[in-house]
Amino acid sequence: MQTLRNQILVVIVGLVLLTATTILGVFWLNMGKYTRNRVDSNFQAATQTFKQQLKSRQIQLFNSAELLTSDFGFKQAIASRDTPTIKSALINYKSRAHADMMFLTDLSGNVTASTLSAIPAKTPFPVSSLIKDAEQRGAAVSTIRLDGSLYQVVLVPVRAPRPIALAGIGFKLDRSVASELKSLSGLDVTFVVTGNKVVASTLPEADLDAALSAPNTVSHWFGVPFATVSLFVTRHLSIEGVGHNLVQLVLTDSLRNATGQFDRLRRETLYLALIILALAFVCSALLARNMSRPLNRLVAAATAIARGEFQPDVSSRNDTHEISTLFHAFNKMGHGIKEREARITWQAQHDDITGLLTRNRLIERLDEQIRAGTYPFIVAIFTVPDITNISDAFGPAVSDEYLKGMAQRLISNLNEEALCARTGTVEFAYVQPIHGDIAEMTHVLTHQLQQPLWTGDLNVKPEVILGYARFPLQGAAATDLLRRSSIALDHARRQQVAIRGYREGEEEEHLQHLRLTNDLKDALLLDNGQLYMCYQPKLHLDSGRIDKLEALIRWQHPEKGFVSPELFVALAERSNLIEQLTDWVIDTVVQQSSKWFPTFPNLQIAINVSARDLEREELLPQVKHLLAEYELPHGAIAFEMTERDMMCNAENTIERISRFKEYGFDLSVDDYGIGYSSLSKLKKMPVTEIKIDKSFVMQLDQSVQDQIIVRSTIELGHSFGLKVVAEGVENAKAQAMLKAWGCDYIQGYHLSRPLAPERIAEWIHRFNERRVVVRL
Amino acid sequence: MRILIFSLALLLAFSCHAETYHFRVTGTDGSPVANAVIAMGTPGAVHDGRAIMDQKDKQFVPFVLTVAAGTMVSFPNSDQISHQVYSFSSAHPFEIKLYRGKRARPIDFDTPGIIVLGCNIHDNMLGYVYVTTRPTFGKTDITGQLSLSSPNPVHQIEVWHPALSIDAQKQLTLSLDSLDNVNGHYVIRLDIPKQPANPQAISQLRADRFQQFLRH
Repeated sequence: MQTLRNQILVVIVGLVLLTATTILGVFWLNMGKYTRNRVDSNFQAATQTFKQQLKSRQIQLFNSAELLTSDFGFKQAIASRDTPTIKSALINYKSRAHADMMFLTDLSGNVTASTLSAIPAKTPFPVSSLIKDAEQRGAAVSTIRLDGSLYQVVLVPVRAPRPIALAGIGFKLDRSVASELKSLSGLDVTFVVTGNKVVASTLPEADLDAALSAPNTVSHWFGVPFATVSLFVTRHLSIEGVGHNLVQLVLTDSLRNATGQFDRLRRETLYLALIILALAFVCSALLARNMSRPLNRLVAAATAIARGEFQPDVSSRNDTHEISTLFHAFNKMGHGIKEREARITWQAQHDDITGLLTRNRLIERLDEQIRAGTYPFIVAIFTVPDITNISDAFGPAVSDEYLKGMAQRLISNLNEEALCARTGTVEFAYVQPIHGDIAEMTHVLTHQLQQPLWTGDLNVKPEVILGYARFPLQGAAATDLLRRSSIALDHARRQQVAIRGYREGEEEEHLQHLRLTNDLKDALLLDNGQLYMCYQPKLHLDSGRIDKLEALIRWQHPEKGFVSPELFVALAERSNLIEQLTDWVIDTVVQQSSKWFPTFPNLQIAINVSARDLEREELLPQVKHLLAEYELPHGAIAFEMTERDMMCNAENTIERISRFKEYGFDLSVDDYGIGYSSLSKLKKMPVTEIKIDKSFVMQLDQSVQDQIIVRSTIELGHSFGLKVVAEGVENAKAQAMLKAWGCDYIQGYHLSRPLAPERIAEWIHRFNERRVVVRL
Repeated sequence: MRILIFSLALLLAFSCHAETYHFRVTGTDGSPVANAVIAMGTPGAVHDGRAIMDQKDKQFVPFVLTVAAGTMVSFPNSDQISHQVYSFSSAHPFEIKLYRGKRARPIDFDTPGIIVLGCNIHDNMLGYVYVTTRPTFGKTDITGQLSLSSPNPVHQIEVWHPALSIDAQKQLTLSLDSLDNVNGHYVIRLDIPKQPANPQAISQLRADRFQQFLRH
């Protein structure tokens, strides 16, 4: 596991191992060199010592020999050839000189006398070259092998004063000499003669072979583990020898000692490394604990922060500087997060312009309030439509100011219990406990809100439309209440009232309308016969002929059946479907009328258009184009528009309405009489016809009032030069009255219900025939 | 004494129509060899003359003394120190105990041979007495030349020099015919290295020999 402790441990252990390995490596690298140097210098010193030693022994021998040969008595004995005397003299002298052998030869090399049985008298001295050497040079020194033993021999002439004989004296080179030499140098000494024959050695028997064949210096691999390296270093030192009997002094240095020392060093390094490793374990554990403790505290603090809890301070007085710094930063971070969280939360819950609650937050607060149990209250939503215009005209900065002003005004006019929110771009909502009459409450507030408001240099009189719903009567949850007050607001807007409360069932209706709107959209899209046109004939009373039809749209909903055109057209107007619907109607009507045209070339079909259609400049050119396409005259199509639509924005409307005239289309004022339009307005309208609303006509025969209205309207219309159509003629009596009053056209069930297009031709023919019959 | 011998020789030469032989002795390198003794004539002559082997400055004088057999040789000590003259040569071993002056008795060298003389006290004293029974003999001078007159014709000669052998006992017997005669001189070429001008200068001191040994 990647814990801190393990990592520290790995580092320390790694370092210790590295150090130990490096130390050993350096030792391995240098051990061979060091040992070689040491051995070399040992050998150098030893060689020097041994040469000195041998030399001094030679000198000693020479001195002894010289003393002997200078003895007059000895010379006399030689001259007298008194062999026993000579021999006794030799023995005597040998012991006096602490020599190991003495002998005498004549000048031709024959032994005269000897203390050594190996060279008996009257035999030639075995090493003749030594004799010659001594005679020629006055002295001879050599190491010779006699009877298996080595002797260091000095041979000098006996002078009287010319040489008369040769006297030899020798020391034996045996194990004791070797030991003595060894004690001087510490090196093992072996005397070897030709053929590697060992004469004497200080080495143990077992080591002899290995030692004598050992290399003359220390291998480079010495000290390297697993390397096979000779444990001996041996050097051969030639000492005086004669002929084939080459004598060598072999010096051997054993490396066992050095190896042992190195082994000990290695062992100690290993122990040391192990001890340090143990310490490293303990230290790393302590160190890691010291480091991980504050880390654990930090982890706890971080977890707490993650949960949203902010601990004040988790630092401790024992912490190191770094940890303290970390803690400090951590605390700072915690505070920073806390602050930012608070700010973000506030921002999430409040509108950033007005500082009011957001819609979501309002819902939360309201639900909390409901759960907590509360007095009855109203949830109101009001809109300030002007703000959009202000934003368009003066820019968002001004409109924002306006919004702030409105928010401020809202807050200041409500008590503390109230909740205020901005729920849309130009929409506010508030929740207010009910105190007294609701109508008064809302009226007072609306009045306050509608007071002129200074926004910079701009003084605006806000127009407020408000809808509200009541708790608990009209909803038990915040969303329901908001939705219902929104529906109420919608109604207020449509009905052009300032304040409107939610009424039971409106939501259901609203939902139904929503669904219907969607279905209408589908029906338009599919064009699968759900929507179809009917045509209601208009009778020209003077001529008694049918020369006009009103095109009426019908919707056969696949589930709901027949849907009232008033309803779905209104829905279409509210949901931007009206343009599509109008286009569909125009297309259908033009197409169908083209079929009747050959039979009834003077037939005019009126199409209903709405105020929204007026705004479409392309509409009339489009119709013109369409008529041309079907080769129909302009008179084939006329338009009807309700009085209410026509009067809504008089000035602009007149302009637009004039265009119908410009394009050569007739335009009727539909539903005339219920729109409260002034006569002066009507006078200005460039229309050709007014249609008296059926509500005045349907009971015409029974209502005197209606008779007055209708009659005067007919007269009025005629006085303006307009044709007058009466809708909703239900009986013959009404028809007769209308004809009597000079009404130009009638339309209604008495004449005919709206007819399917395929029945139109037949019906007109039959009507005309019947008329003929009637006439007849 | 020398005059006596000389006059006797003259007498002999005259009386027997004496013939003179000239010799030149050289070493192997051709350098003249002094103190080479040449003897000729039929052996058997004895003499009862006298000769002196003096000791001066711790040296025997002359270095080589040639005497006829039977000659009495005195060993006067001209030095202010004592000498102990001896010889272990088989021809006539003798020893004169420590003495000074002329107290020493003359020694009668009646046997022919080479007597190597030494002094027991002074190791570097070396001298030779050449004793012969041949009638005519002499030693070469410093130029290596020697002229001998013999009443009778000579065909063979004996030649000796201390360096001829290690014990200085070796003599050569040479036939005159075998010798080169250059300008009336018989040239005798000895197989010896070039001899020092002063032969007694060859150190016999032990100390010197030790030095030599060490060098060795």
